[in-house]
Amino acid sequence: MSQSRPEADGRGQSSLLRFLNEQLPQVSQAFSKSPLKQLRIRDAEVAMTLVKATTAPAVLPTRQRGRQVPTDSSPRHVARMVGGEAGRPYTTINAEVVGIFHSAADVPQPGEPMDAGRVLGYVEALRLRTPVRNADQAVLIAQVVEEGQAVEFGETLFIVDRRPDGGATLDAAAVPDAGEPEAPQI
Amino acid sequence: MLASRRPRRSDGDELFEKILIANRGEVAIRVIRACRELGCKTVAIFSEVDRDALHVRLADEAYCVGPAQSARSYLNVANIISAAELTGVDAVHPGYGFLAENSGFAEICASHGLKFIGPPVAAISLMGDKASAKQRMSESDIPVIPGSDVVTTLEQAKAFCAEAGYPVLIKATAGGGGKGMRMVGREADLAAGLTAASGEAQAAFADGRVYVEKLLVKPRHIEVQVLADEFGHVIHVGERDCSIQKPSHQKLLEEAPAPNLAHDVRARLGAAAVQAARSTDYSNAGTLEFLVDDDKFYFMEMNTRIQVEHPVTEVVYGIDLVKWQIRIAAGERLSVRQEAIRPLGHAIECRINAEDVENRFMPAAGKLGDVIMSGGPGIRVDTHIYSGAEVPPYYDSMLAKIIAHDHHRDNAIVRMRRALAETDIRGVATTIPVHERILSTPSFVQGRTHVTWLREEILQKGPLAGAAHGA
Repeated sequence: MSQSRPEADGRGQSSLLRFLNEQLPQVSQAFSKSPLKQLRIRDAEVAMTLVKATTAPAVLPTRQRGRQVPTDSSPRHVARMVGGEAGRPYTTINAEVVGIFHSAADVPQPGEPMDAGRVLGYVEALRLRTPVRNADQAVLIAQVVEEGQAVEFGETLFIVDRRPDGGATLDAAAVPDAGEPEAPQI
Repeated sequence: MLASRRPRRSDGDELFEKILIANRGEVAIRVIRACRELGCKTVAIFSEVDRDALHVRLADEAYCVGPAQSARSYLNVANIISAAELTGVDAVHPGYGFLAENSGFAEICASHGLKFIGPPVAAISLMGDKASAKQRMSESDIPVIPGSDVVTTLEQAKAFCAEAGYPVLIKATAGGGGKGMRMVGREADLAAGLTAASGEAQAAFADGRVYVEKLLVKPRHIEVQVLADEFGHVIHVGERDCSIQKPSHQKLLEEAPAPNLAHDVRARLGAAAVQAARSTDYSNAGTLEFLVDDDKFYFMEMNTRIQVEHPVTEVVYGIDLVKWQIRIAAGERLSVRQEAIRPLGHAIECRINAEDVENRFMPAAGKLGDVIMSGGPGIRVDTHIYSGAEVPPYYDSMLAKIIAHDHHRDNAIVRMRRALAETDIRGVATTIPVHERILSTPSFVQGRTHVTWLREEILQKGPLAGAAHGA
């Protein structure tokens, strides 16, 4: 697993930075056991992305985005993942273009089965909307990005389970409501 | 009250607040350094295999714009422009290669309210197309090498060659860097040369058009750096001798000033370069490339961008060309007068490439081991590598540029030898052995080189001593 390190801007630590300083080992450990391949946490000043490396571990640079995006839903996505099954091979749907992510109006709930070709959202770039589609029949495990978030090429947008029994093993009702969970709950 | 943090030009007006660098490798770092010193924030772009690249680490922000293949990342205009919009940059610096001489990209930047840090679209279009550039130069009374229009059939090429005589050089109308170029010595090889050059040009520049040019025998490649602001003020910043080229015509070693160049030829080259820039309403940095044959010279092409070898000019003339690119693009007037441009000493640049010299400069890739770069008095190193870095196989093989500067050419050669001896790059084969051979060859030391000198005096003289260096 590789991870990025948040940088303070020299004007004092944000609450997220303080949280990370105190909780990073626990967050990192929990992330490593989760089915997520990538996890982004941000507040108004700092963004941190945890990425599971597929080859040799490497330290990724931390990047602060030029435009701030809503931050209230980061823990929510983290919380949605409690329905996932540690160690199970999930499939990610990644951004093919650089732009702003928007959820589809009828984006499924975690645990909900989806037909192939279902539009889960859009990446808007240069006034064009590129649909984000689910390629095969699958069950939605999690939406990783937030509404209105800037995404780069290859960034994980959704995690789905394409195994034949995927839908049957995940009960949507078991996935907790978004709400405002405790931040480190992964 | 705190003063505004927006960066300022030297004349006090506002400079760009944030600049996206549409490139990778050492030139991306070179631009980031200029931006940082000017107070401009930077946005890097990168491909998936460049996630750990140094330019990504040094920039203030970075966006992945595509997979490893250049066509889908560093040439992915839509994703690059989108990253520029998302990060709120004012300007885009293209570096060299990739989109640097793509007038369409410059035009798209303008249409999205982004200042392209380079010449005007019209100048890129005119001078980037080598056939139209030669025509304009010819109209401006600047000597040009006899050449054809774009050739679309073998018969057209044969007709030109029959008139001009062999040998000829087939060249791509778009691009440079030795790509899409083939020397043909006899008619029987013309068809194969055209096919190879056109195919290579298509792959490198998405434009397979080629033309044919008369090949001079053993000329020198000497180029002149120009700077022009957006108010018609043009200067030249001396010449560079780039005659040491690989058989593929890619430059390997450059120096400034050009050794053994007659004073009047130097003066006429400078004047021709300024005239060329004026005749095309040029602004920003550019380079006029000439082939020099004794006291005659011929316009070859213009590179409408910063050059790989720009550091030799910077250290000899004490001028920061990249900063001037940014200042000029921000609307600053050139404050440097031609009469103030005076060389101080001599500079040599060695391109350290990941290439197997003994195997026709075959590019090498892989994970680097320990990397020790030179330093000390008079040595500048522009590089993006570090110990343990990956050298991906998808891009240019240049690892570093070592620039040695001293008061006299002889001293600069000694200094460069010292720098090469100190440099140790483990994990891939490099061009260091061939540079060591060049620097100790009497005809180079005497400044008597030409564009086929490397092949004739070095490569055909047997294996290089110490070729295992760094491997």
